This record gives sequence, structure tokens and C-alpha cells, in this order.
Amino acid sequence: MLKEAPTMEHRFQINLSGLIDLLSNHLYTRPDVFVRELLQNASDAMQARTRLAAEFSGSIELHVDDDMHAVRFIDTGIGLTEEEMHRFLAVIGESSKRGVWVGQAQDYIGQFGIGLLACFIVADEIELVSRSATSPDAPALRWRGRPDGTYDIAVLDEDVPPGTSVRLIAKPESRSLFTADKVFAAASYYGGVLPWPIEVTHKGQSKAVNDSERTQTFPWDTSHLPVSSRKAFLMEFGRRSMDTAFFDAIPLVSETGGVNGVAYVLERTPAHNSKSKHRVYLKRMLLSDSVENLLPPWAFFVQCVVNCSELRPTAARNAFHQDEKLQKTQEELGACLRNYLVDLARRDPAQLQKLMAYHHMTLKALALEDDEFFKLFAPWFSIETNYGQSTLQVYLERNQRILCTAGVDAFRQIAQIAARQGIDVINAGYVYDAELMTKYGELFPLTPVRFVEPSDIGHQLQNLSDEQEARHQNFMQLAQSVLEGFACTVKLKVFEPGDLPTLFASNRDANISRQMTVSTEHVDDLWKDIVTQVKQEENSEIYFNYGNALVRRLIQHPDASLVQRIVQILYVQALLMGHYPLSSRELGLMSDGLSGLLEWSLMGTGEKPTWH
Amino acid sequence: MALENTTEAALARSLISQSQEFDYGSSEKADLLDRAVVAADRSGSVSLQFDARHERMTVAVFSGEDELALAMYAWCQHITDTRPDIIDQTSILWPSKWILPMLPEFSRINQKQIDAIAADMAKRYEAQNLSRRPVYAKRSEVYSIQGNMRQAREFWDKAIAEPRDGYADCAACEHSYAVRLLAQEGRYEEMITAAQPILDGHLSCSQVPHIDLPQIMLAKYALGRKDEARELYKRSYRLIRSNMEYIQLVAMLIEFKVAESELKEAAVVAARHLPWLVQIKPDKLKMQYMRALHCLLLAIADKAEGKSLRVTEWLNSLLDALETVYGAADNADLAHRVKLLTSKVAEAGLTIAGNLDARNANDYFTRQWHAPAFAYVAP
Repeated sequence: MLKEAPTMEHRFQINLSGLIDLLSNHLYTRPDVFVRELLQNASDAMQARTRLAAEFSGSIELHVDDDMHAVRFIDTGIGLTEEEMHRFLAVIGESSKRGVWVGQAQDYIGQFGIGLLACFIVADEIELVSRSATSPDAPALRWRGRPDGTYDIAVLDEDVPPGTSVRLIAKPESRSLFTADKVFAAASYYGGVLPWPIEVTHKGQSKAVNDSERTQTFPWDTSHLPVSSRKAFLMEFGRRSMDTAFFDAIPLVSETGGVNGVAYVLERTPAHNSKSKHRVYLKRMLLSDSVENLLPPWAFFVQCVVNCSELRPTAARNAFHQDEKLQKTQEELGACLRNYLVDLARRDPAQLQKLMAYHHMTLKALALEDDEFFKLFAPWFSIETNYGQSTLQVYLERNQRILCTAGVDAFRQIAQIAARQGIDVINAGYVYDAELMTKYGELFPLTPVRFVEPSDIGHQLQNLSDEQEARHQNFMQLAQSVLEGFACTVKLKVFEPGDLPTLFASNRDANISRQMTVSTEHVDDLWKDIVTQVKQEENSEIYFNYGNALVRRLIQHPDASLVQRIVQILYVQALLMGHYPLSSRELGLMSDGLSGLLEWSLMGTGEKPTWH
Repeated sequence: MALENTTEAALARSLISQSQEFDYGSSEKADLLDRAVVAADRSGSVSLQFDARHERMTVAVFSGEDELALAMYAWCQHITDTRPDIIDQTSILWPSKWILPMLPEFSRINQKQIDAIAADMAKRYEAQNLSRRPVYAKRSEVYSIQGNMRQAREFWDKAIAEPRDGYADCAACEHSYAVRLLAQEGRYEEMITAAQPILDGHLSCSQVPHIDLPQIMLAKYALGRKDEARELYKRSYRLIRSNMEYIQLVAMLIEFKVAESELKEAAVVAARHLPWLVQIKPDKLKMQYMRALHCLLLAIADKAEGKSLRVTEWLNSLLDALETVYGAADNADLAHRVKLLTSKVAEAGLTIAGNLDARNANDYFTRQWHAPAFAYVAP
């Protein structure tokens, strides 16, 4: 037993350079992320200053100095006092946006208090000069921080306007990021939607990152355009900003998530289970261009550009927290997409048909969640039947009820024989189809929906008379003994087509039972007992066609060893016809049957005249 | 050593790879892996046979095919023990955590067998000198399923006192279990507080929050926070509706609708998922779905007695669907059909509850059976 030691409290030791390495290699995916972090801080400082003076209108400037390999970020925001420098610049995880600055924390972009560390990925020193706007007497201060965790603060004897300027000098390996072009590109990428004029200045020349006349609206805003040209504007904006053409554009709004943006319908069929990645601005600063969970899961047919103000991102920035607010936001955005589709169905059916050719999966997924949508779109759902590709509407013109299989394999096994019996079966084994068929039955109870398994086909086949059954009892017993160990029951029936000698039928339970048997042949007794106790013994069935000439000759043949070989081969042939995969044992059965047949035929040749 | 049939091996690998594109619970995923197992067997490669069966086991575990998962696990364990030159001994340690808590859900598996598998799991962790955290945690789950809450709590406390290593469940899964344990103990206030990180999405995993939301819904409902419970219903059903693995959670949602007197909604969901009742094999899960059906039928019978029930499409659909499982009545009178089905469902459900209780040496499931819809039953 452990002896209890006196309790002592210790503190974690944080290795700052190790943490920076962690951030640069794991959390941040782009090396220019320092631009985002500094723009974010600048924007938050400006936002804080508007709380002090509503009429405040400032700007953010980025000055690139090629000779020094340096960049300076200058904002006219609220600035920092010395106490704030100690507290916010030196304590990791203590974001300045938590309560101390004016206003509410949610007014600001930064949430995690680790942004400044991103600068150490590219620079060995951060020099920050700031003067707080909270007091006219506030001194200008210079803060210098180093990646070893040390920093100093000096009071400057200079007349500095309120605001903050941050200067970074590139590490040698990061100099390529400090060119005017790279800084401009990064500032446009991350801060192109910020509500403050942003300029990059290089060698005395200034270039605007955003349209200073329209900083209060979003680049996708079309309210200033006539209605007739709005769609073209949005399509062009989508093509330019995502470098690809789209099928259509859908305005998105969610009050709960504070979302405003555009969803672009993809002009291609996305892979099932693929997740659309959306470009998301959080409070007008780019959060990521690969956010995954903004929309409901069925909406993988669009790619969005949106700004949101009320959702909480995860630290990795590629998703939002799965909370109730996100769920409501997803519902509201889902409603925008749904309304678009419903409207399209009424307004432009030809365009809807084109969209369905790309995105039938997403429409099926949506239909599962929305009854009204289901009723509207169900007739157009594409389906696979044993008579070929079709739509549900066409199928229902041929049938009073829906017969379908729940699995693709079951459909393969059933398709051919069902067609020969004149039975029209839908393959509902593909994603969503089984649930959709069930839902069809719920919403349209006058059209019964029935799921069938290959074994159900057996019930459609014609029985022999009692007298015929009795006459062929010997054959049945022999065939059953040949298939001993294959969990398969032999039956004799009459069915079309007459040239089909046998038919193999199995259902889900029989397949599982077969797999369980094969997998536990060699396991220890404990497991063998357990599996036997939980296993539901279920046999597959093989139907010999009494209407087939070969079968009729077979069951009357006097040579039992020949009948045995032929039964072996017909069994395997039936599996192959039904698209069932052959196990090693079944391959062995076929091989044994074939060599037996060859031997039998060779045995006979000695008594016949030879041809050579 | 047998030569590998490269064509079959390539086919098996390709089928396994294709299966990754589908979600758990989809028939396409299972079909592809069934074929992969056959192709792997034909390839002669032991490691590929292991991979294919390991994948099939995983899919079976997360798709409600528990009986198949047990058989696949048995095969994998056998190969791990007999061919350590090919398959690493640690390969089955993680799946053993899925397998142990499945056992008490089958009434035909006796206590001695459960204890033997639990002891075997402990021995395997010990042999690798690993933390006992997963061993105690899964033992706790077994006890909780059997309604032995004192031992369940005792083993959970032991589990979390052990260090975490690479075989411990993730933080979300462990927290989820701790929350559900509180729920089963009836400690609803604590449970709801503890569940907040799950509700907020801070903790999530492949089955979290799916398996938690209905329990949280029940707790909130019991505490009178009915509007919050209603919100959770919608959030919950969307997550669980496509996977048979969640049949007992669907059963809880049906009972919730019955408790809310929304019989039409309850009946539609009950009929929709009725095929699962036929397919699912663990007795505990069958019994819980039957219990939900029983609650629904009792509520329908109550309304029929009060003459406030009309013959509607939804009612006919439900009764027709139930009659395909339990057999049709000899006359078409609504009250008669409902009465007959109620007694047939009760008979089947109580038999299972009795069998589980006999093995567990308590009366937990029988008492559960007799409790009102969506009510807490103390173990």
C-alpha cells in the first residue's frame, strides 16, 4: 500500500520555444498566420476605441521595409497601458478581450490569448509601441518581447498618437514572407472583409487591401445593385474568390448565428460523405477557408462564403462548437437552402433537373428530414430497379406498391430471378434509399412498401405435388447430404425460366449465421460456446427447378456418385448466378465435383472406340 | 507457409478501402466487408484475414450486429494467440473493450462465461503491463448493464484512479459513461451539470453525444424541464435514426413521445424502426424496444377505452406492422387487435426480462418492464 506523502503544490513549467514550435507545426497551418493575428489584435483595438467614442473612424496600416526585412502594423485603436501590457502581452491564455477592455468579450475576434505567439514563428523579437486612448495623460510605452520568455517595457519620451504599432524583423528563414506582395496577399486573405480601411505601404506607395468606401458592407453585398444584375454579380464574386465556376448562388442569413453570406451550388457531384469546406469570416476576420460544420450534414452540395458573429470556433479554427446555437444556425441556414430548392422546383423545373443530376444525394438526405420537401421531390428521385435506372414516379406508374431490397448484395441476388417472375424490385441498398422507401410508405400509406430478401423469392415459386415430392425423396436426401456443412436446405420447385436449373436464396440472418460458423471453427471452447449460444441458426436455400430438363434427368439418374458431383457443381453455379462470393470451401466443392465428373467421363472412354 | 493469392489479396484490400467511404450502419459498408472477408480467406494471407475480420468486427460493433462482432472477435483472438509471429498480441486489446460489455446483453450467456471473458481481458492487459483503467471501466459497464450499481460505481472509481495510457477510452467517451452512470443512479441534477460539456459540443466522439442525449432528455424531463427535453428529442433523433446500434435509444424516444401523449409521432417512429427489432439480437435491446412498444400500445388502449381514439392511417400502419411480427388477430376490431398485440408483446418482453434477471440474480429488467413510459427505474 502507498504511504501518503505530505502534499506540496507545484507549477507547470512552460517551455515557450517548445510551445511556439507546437503552434507553428500543429495549430497554425500557414506560415503567414502572424498577419492574421496582428490584424486581429488591431481590429479588436479599433473596436474597443469605438466604444470610447462612437464617432471614431480609424485605419490600419502595414509598412513593409525590404532593407530591414521588417513589417510594422500600425493601428489607431485603444492602445495599451503598462498594466495591460504586463497582463495581456505576457500571460499566455489571458486574452485582453476578457472583460477588461470596454464592451463585451463577444465584440472581439480573439478568444484564446495566444495570438502574439504566432509572431515568434517568424521573428526573434516583437517590438510594440503603444499609447492608451483611455487617458489624455497616458504615456507612450515600448514593449519588447523575446521567444525565451523575457520582455522589457520602457516609457518613451515621444509624442505618439493613441494606438499601437507592432514591428517584426524577420528571422532569416522567414524573410520570404516579409515582401510587399506576400504581406499584401496575406492581409487581403485574412482581413479583406474587416470594417476598417487597411493599406499596405511599401517604398512610399500605398495599396488598399479593402474598399475604404464600402468597409461597412460585405464584398458579396448586392443591395446597391439593381435586382436584375445581382445574380451575375454573386456568380462572378464566387468565381473570383474561390477560383471555380458554380451552378448557382443562394443568399444565406441566420439570425441565431449572426450569419450573412452566400452558398454556391457546386457544378459537380461531390463524393458521398465528403464535407464541404466553407470560407468563414468571424466578426469579419477570416477564420478559415475550410470550416466544415456550419451547414446541416445533408448540405454537401454547396460551398459557402459567410461572415458570422455569434458562433464559437474551436481552437483549431476549422469548426464551430457543436452547441445548441450552432444547431439552430444550421437549421436556419438549411431553411435558406431548402427554400431555394422548393422555389427552383416551382420556378424553373428544367434547372432543377440539371441540379438533381449533380446532387440527388443531398436532396435525398434533405427529404429524410423534411416531410414537405419529401412530398415535393420524391417523384423525381432516381432509383435502380431490376429493369434499369428509373425514377420513383415512373416506377409507381408501373406498380401499385413498392418492393425493394435493403442491401445492394440482396438486390444483385434477387434482380434477375425477380425480373423473370415479372416482379419489379427497387435496389434500396444505396445510401438513404431504404430510409426513403420507408418514409414513402409512412407519408403515402395507400402505396404499401415492402422490403424483400432473396429468400422471399422462394415463396413465389411453385410447389410440386405431394406425389411428386414423395417420388423424389431419395434425390432430396442425397443432395442434402452433399451440402452437409454448408448450412443450405435443398428444395425442389418449379419456376421460370425453365433453362435455369437451380436458384440459391439467402437472407441476412443466414449470411450472418454462415459467417459466424466459418469464423469460429477453430476457436477455443469458451468462445465456441458463447457464439453458439448467441447464434440464430438459419439456413440458406437452394431450389432445384423441376421444370428444367437437366434437373429432371439428374433426379432420376441411377448413379449416385454422378448425381453427387453434379449437385456439387450446380450448387456452386447457383451461388455464382446469384453473385454470392465463393468461400474457399465452396471453391473446393466445385473443384472436387469437376474432377469427379472428369474421372467419370474418362472411365467410360475405355469401353468406346477411340478416335486416334 | 501458404503463398498469398495476390489477386484475391488485392480484391480484399480494395473492398476494405471502399468500405471506408460509408457510415456505420449502412448496408453497403457491411456488404463490402462481407466480401472482403471471403476474398481475404481465399488469398491465404493470415494478416489480411485478420485485417478484414477486424474491420468487419468494428463495423458489426458500431452497427448493432453484436452476435457477428462476437464471432469475428473470437476469430481475431484465436489468431492473435496462435500466430503471434504474424499478429501482434496487442491487436485485440482495444476491441476487447467493445466485446466485454456486449456479453451481459445476451441472456443466454451465463455469468460464468462473462466472468471468464472479463478475467481473460484483465490477463491480457496485465501481460502487456498496461494500466488497468480500461479493464475496470468495462467491468463497471458490465455491472451497470446488469443493474448492479454498487459494483458499477466501485469499479468506475477504481478505473479512474488508474493512470491513462493509449488504451484508455478518449476523454469524451469516459465522460459520457460517467454521465450515464449518474443517470442510472438517478442523480439527475449532478448528471445534467456534468453533461454540459457534452451538450455544448466540447466533448464529442463517434458515439458522443448520440448515446447521451436521450439520457439527458430523460433527466431533464424528470426534473420538469420539459421544454429543454423536447429540444433534445429533435437533436437526438437525427443522430440515431439511421443506425440499428441505437435501437434502445430510439425506444427511449418512443417512450418520450408516449409520455407526451403524442401517440401518432410515437407510432410512426415505432413502425419505422420495427424491422430492427427483428434483426437485432441482444436480448436487452430487444426487450427495451418491446417495452417502448408495450407502453405505446397501453396508451393506445387507454384512449380506445375512453373512446377518444379514431381509426387512422397511422394506427392501422402500426398495427399492421406489429402483426407481421407478432401475428394477426382473428378479427379486425381495433380494440381487439390492440389488446391482443399488447398481450403478445408483454409476453415476449417479460420472458426476456425474466431471463436477463435470472442470469443477473435480480429483478431489474422485470421492474423496468412494469414502469410507466419514460420513467426512471432504480436498479
